[in-house]
Amino acid sequence: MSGFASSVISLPDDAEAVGEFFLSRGNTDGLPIVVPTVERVERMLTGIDRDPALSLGRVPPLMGDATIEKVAINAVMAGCTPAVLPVVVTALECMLETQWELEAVQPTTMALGPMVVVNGPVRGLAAVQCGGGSLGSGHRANLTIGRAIRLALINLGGAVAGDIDRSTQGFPGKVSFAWGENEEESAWEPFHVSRGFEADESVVTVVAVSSSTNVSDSTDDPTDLLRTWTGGLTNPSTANVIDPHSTPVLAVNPLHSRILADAGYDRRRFQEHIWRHSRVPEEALSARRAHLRRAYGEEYFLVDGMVPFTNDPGNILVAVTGGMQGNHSTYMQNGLYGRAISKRVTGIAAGVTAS
Amino acid sequence: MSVSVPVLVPWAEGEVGLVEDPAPRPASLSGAVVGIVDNGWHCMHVIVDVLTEVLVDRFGASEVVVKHTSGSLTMTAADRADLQQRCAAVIVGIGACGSCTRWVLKDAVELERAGIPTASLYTRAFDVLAVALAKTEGIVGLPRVLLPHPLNSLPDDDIREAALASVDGVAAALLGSLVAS
Repeated sequence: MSGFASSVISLPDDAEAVGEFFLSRGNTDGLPIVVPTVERVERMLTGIDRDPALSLGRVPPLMGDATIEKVAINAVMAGCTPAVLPVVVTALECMLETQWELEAVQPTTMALGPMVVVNGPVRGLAAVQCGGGSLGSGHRANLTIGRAIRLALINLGGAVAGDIDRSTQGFPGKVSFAWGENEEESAWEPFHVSRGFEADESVVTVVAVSSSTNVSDSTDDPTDLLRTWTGGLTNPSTANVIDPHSTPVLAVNPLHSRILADAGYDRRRFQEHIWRHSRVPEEALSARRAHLRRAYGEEYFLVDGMVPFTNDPGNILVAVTGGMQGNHSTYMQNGLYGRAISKRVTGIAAGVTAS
Repeated sequence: MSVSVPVLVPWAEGEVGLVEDPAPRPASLSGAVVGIVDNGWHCMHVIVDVLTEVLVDRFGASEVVVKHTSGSLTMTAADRADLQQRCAAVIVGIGACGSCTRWVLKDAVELERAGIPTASLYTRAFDVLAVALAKTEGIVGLPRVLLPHPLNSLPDDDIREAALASVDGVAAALLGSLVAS
């Protein structure tokens, strides 16, 4: 007896063979996995000070029970360290809130996938990359957080690509998309503080995004920089345009944040500027897209005669990430489903760090 | 001698929820009010026109009530209540994308639970999803009617032809043999 609620199966002590077994059953994301032996799952659970039997909820559409134990098994497969597990668990808790609409995100033909933003002390404990290359490759915590979530969505929710997951093309962020805010080099208060948390709290925010678009300008002129930002967002083809309540994310690099802050743009003023200037004319929308936006209510269709890409400046989520070595920022679209939810990370096990 | 290791399974285990039967079916639609929920796809507008004519001319419906949703949401509670009060049966459609398949099914399930027989329409590309979703809702044999995919991009005449071809399936779903076309 393993002491676990999950069934135990006996497989050959051959990582490649076990990987092929899970791949053939549709239990992976297409990449090789770390075999979830009893020993490895036991070790994973040392990273969280919560009951493994606790259910976070049922993962749609197949409604598998997301116990912490099941999440830990998938986290092992993803290659997580134990220190990362509380972040993964909290991210899933965000996504299992009814208003996140995971039941629509899972089967959609859109490219939507969960993007995780990490704030607070857990970034250091779990070695979440917040500086250079935070959105890219090379950082185990960032990549495995997103991967563990994807495996849980597959194995507990049934969202196998090409089957229940009907995403027309997908997008690379559906493989894994997680990063930490560079609070230390940001010119603004931390993102999670702007969402009502204390600075010393560890917080996870999850948004369903369908793209990441580079916003690049090496200018040091704030007026020019704002023009580049709004130019990049003024796009009638985005998911944001068809959803007046969307929560797009502007991942600003530290240098851009400093240029803007030095010119008197705190986060709120930046949000309002973006909101006011990133609008498209009604005739730029296809009839189908205009219909989708109008379904939310005619009162949300136009603002001052133009279609804004979300209806409230506060919906535009601004966080700082990346390094000081360049001037590249990123914009991530959100629309229809998976609007941002933030939760405090609980159960961080004392003394457990990524190593 | 081969060596084995104990591995914990990552997938969901155990059954979920109650299993319910769909609502009872009427013997005929003659003199009945029939509802149609149109989720905004152009192809669904064409289908509504075809089915409205068929429901009245061939099945003797006294009236066809059409409710509109966006495709990215379920119908409003007020619209559902109105259909439940007035209609002997309701056609819901069309699941022609992933998320709208979810909403079509949810609307159909809510009506079935209120005792209203439904025929929910999906394009074939979303049949697997519709079956999986119905299973998770716990309604055994929720009737579904399949139309060709792609459908929305076809000329209107082709959509009409597909709608006419679906009539037997719609009738079976609303009246009796709960077998999808």
